[in-house]
Amino acid sequence: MTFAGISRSLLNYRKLIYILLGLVFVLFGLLDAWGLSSKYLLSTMIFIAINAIVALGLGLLGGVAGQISFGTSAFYAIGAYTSGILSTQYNLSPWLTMAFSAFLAGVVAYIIGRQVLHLHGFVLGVITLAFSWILWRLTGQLTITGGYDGISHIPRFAIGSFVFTDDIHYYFLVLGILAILQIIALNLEKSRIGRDFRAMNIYHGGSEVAAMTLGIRLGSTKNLLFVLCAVYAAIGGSLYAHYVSYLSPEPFNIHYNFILYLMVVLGGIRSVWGPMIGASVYWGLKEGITYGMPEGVATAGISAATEIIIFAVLFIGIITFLPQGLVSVPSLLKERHRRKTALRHERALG
Amino acid sequence: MLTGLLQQSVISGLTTGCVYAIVGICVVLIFKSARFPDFAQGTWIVLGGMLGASFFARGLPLWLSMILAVLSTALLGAACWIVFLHGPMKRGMSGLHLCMITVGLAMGIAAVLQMTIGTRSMSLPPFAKIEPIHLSKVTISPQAPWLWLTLLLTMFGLVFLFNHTYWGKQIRACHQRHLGAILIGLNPSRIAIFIYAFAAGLAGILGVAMAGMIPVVYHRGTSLILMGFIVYLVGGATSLPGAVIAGLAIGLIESLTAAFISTNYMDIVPLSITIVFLLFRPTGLFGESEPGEK
Repeated sequence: MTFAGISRSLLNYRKLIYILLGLVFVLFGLLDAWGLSSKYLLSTMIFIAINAIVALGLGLLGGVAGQISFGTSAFYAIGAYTSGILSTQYNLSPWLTMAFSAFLAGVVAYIIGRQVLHLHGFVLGVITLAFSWILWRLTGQLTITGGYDGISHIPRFAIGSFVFTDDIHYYFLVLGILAILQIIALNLEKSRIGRDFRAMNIYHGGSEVAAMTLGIRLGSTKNLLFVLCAVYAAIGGSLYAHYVSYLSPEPFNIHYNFILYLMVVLGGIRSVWGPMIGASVYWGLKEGITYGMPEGVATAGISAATEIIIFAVLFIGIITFLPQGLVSVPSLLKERHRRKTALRHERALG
Repeated sequence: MLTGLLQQSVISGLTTGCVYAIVGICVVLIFKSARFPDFAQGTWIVLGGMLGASFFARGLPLWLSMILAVLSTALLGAACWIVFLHGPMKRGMSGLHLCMITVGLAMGIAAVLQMTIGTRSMSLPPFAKIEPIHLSKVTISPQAPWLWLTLLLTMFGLVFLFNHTYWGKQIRACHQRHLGAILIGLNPSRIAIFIYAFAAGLAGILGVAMAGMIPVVYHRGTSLILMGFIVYLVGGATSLPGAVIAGLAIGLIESLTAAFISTNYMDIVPLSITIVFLLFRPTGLFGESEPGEK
């Protein structure tokens, strides 16, 4: 088998490539188990997995179904703070608090969604942005969230007497939850509901009116999506709270929504695999930039600014030149290969 | 006592309302020409203010640094539009993607500002060297009348532009029917460049006028653009008078909240009120239809 043949057959199995990527995720964890990599790398991997969970929800809502929402950071905050408050003040088990925070975020999303989702396009985007802003400011004001001092000493997950104190164990926990949520999202996207999502994506050939005439219940489908996105974000937030064990309002800034969109767009806005790939590439680049910064030259502010500039350029570049994200690269290459061989055949014939 | 506080907060509310109204006008202008809300407008305001302040700090006279700041903001705006948005727009990219490009633009410009000019907050002296004005119970900051004047001039300027000049009529034609405008020989994508430069220049003027009263920091753009978007939606997406009324109203609500409830909630209360308003009336005050594709 020639190299071209192998690469072609690999291109035919896009799934395989994705699974390999997933394996890389696991592999990094294993590497650490053998003591080959640093604690720093492992914590980055945990953040990748947590962000992949949050971005996955946004990918379904914003990417597959084309509903602009900047409310994800609010649900992320709800998840994190509910977990934090319940486990520090009421000594509940983190499993319970995670379930409860997901439930609470779902209920809030359902109530808000009922009101908001008859809107579409930019009105929805701006209203959810305002919602995120309000919630972010409230976390800094209220006494129950600890104000700007935040909440500290949030416990880790535990099964019986086994506590996930080691990062490596926590990594596998997060990875397991990510895998479950990813499988749910994949099946959902392949099912009838997923086709409904795509039918109402106004930014990709769909139409809300046309979807309605096909018998899709627009309201309940949108609401389901909104709740799903909120639950994913809350699970991510809960995992975050129990990992870093300290919460302050800063990470729940509305800028987090833009970062999430960056991840989703980077990976591929219409693909369910996109958020995972996007989160990995984003964090990989981020750590790479911080690591590659010459020492002494950069103060913390300058390095953060450089990072943002690089990501802004990348973001604009991806949207402009690769609107379907990194996921679409194999199929683009395949298409190019096909066109090339067709040209060669044509030349050979005449 | 209470009436004094009320009068004072109405005055300061009208002043911040002017700021929000002009941000809203900028967003509406871009939406009229390009049909997507522009995240970068907040950053142009901050850019104008910071450029003006740093020119002034270098020793240029106040009027020259102001003019230079406004001109360079307009030019930079046009350059950014040509480099980042002209091509995608011509290729007919969806509003969502264009909006996302401006998100990237806003983040990038704020970071460039942070890197080059710095993280400290900057301000300009008031335009005229006068003492704060004391009326019976109210104190008016010397810069506030200039902000009111800016809004008034902007309003009259825009009315004149849209109703009495050839340029304005071209812009209106492009807004009404994109294809129709091309058919009668207009070039919508070129007109969009000019509108963007115009809006960025307007944002620059606002930035300079604002820096005389409120210090500007590189990250101030986000909260400004949030208010700008709210104003743009409440006003009705394409309506300039709507934007002015909505801006003033939100400014008033904000300062009344600060005076009578708590300064901690001064942005939470107006945002909540506008969310409820938009839920019941998504087309805004004067809008014909909801913004965004169906």
